[in-house]
Amino acid sequence: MKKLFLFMMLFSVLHAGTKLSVVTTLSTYADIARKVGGDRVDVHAIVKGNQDAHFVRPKPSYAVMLQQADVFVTTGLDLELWAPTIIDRSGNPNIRSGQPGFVAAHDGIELLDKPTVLSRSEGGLHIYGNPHITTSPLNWKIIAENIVIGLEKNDPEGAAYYRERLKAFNEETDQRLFGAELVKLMGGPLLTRLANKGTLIQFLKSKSYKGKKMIDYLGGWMKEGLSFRGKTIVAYHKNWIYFQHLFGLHVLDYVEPKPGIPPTPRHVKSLIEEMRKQNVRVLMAANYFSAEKVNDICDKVGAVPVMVPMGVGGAPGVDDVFALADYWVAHLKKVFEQVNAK
Amino acid sequence: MYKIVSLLLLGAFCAYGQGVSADSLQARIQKLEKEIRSIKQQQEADALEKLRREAGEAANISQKDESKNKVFRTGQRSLQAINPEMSFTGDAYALSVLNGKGYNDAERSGMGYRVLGLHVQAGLDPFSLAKAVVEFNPEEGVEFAEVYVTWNNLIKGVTLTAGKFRQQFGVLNRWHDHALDQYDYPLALTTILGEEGLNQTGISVDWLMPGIWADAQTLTMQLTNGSNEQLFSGEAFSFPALLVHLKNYYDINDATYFELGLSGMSGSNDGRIGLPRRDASTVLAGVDATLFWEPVNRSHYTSFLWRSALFYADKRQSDLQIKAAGVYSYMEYRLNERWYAGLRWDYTQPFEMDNSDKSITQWAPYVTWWQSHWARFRLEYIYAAAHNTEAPDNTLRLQLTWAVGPHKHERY
Repeated sequence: MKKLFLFMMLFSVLHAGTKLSVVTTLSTYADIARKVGGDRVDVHAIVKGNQDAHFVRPKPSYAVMLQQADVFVTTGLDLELWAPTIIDRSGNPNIRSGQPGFVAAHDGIELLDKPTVLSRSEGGLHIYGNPHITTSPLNWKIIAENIVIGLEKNDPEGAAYYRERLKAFNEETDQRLFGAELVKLMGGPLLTRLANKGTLIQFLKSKSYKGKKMIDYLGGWMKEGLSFRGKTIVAYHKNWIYFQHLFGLHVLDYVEPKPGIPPTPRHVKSLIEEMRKQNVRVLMAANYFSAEKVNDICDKVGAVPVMVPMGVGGAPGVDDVFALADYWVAHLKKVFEQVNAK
Repeated sequence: MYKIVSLLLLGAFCAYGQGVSADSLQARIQKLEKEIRSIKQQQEADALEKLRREAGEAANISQKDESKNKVFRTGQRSLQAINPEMSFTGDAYALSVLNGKGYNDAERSGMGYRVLGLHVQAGLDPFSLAKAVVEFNPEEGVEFAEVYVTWNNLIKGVTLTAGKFRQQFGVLNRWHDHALDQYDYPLALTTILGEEGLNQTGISVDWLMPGIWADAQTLTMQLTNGSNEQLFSGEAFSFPALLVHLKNYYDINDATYFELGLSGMSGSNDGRIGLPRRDASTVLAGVDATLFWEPVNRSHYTSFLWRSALFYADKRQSDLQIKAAGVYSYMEYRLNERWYAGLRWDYTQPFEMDNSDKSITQWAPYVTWWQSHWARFRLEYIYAAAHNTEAPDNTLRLQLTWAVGPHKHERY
């Protein structure tokens, strides 16, 4: 028995040694990497789910993580501007931009909010487009595909395994997004294309099948989201744009006068007046922003705050991407029910 | 569908009427029902296929330019997109020298600018990165503050830098002055390492070591010209100086880290000409410690920093010897999104012979207000006291620092 135990220990140590070491910037990328990488990967994230990815300090311990990494997953845009510093400090040539161990998660995602004026007078603008791509489950599938490509490059023997897990991940994402019945009828890729174009709900409402409106086949987060579709909110920062696009939310204005610029008293005053005038009663913010500020604005206009994590692990129970989207949708739905009941 | 069912029932009725047996009739009904199901399935499949086709059309984005009247242009003279990443930093101030006269030998009450910095960086090729900082200073004109090339890919964990660079003696000597948490470098640093600190030309090897007794350790070795006039050979800099720095970094938890650095440096000084090496050498030693706390989900609003360092220099020239020690310690607290408040304490012996009973002490309280990530105001008061030597004047200074372009600091 003792020998067997020692053998199992040795086997697990050897097996652990063969795992690909994956380091990601965001915790959401880490969760997706775990889902598609399964037992063949050992994944660590730098940014916590309740942390602002813009402002992470390039600590030496992150450089050590990257030094030992086979694969590094980052957005690849101007979100994690601290990433090149820790890549340089790690001295790991395999994870530099363009090398097999480097994965740019955004590749293939149609970026929204591309600036037309490149000037700091617009605040902390993102020159390639909005980099907060993880707020739409539609993008997760592209991110997962990109991660799998990175894993395959560094572990070709595991390619079939990764592809199989990717397929399962995509299927689960589709079912959770659109509901199993609609996915069975229309297929995930087609529904994804419609949702990306912003025409899914309109299409489903205009068509029938087997004597039943297509919209009645809709399930998952998109169905839940119908309760707040077309509604107007105020957001703290421009980091929900992909979520808004998917769920058809309108944003009246932001608490920040320009992206990355702390709210000024004058801007907050005018925002409150506008919220009253337009009867906007929901304020959505990532939970790393000031709850005091959000609550203060909400108190003044009788609005309800929705403070949610941006990433996996950012709140109790938000242990994976599916729980994260559950959290976003459930909280918004509940808040709009509250507002409508007033 | 109604018609089909009616026909089938009619057929069944006729068959019955013609005396067909009950079993045979039952079989025919079943066959017809099967056919009905099949037709229904086919119809549903057709409807679904039509739906999918329509959905595909609804999702298609066709923006193909069919124009035959195209104008062709070249990009061969428009490659500015691959110009280096460039940014400017500005550092201006309003100063009041609080000595009753409003001026002294070094400074005068009024407004001025300290420096305008041009920061340029770009990948040279797939193997190396070039950085240059050119400073425009009203007193010294144009100066190459730093110009160097870095290779990150030579050996795993090792970075090689060649050029002129601010050296890794402690933490703050590496930084440009506009990035400091106070207006000036600590008094101990400028008194012992020289007014501009250690900034010499040579090579630097940084080794990110496997963590042995810390979460991260970096060993830095720098071989440079000893061009620092106060410590080394000045213009006769062909005598090199060697610096060694060991950084030990500890993550206490997600919000807090502690860093302990040890620095040592040795080189020949300007007494080297005509003297044996041991009689014309300078030895430096330093210890630095940093404790930083910033909760991960409150990083916009609060943080605490404590940083201290000790400097020691021993410069010998034949029978002459200067030994000097200095220390600084400061704490800074982030009050909210825009405001920081801090206090720095400096103590140093003057860099001169027979200084054992001489010292200068400074207290520098300050507040910093960030207008945005790219513009910052700071109000700093400096109170200085001296023992057996001349104290600097007390001052009150309002500083404005700004950056345009993609300038960013790599501090942690």
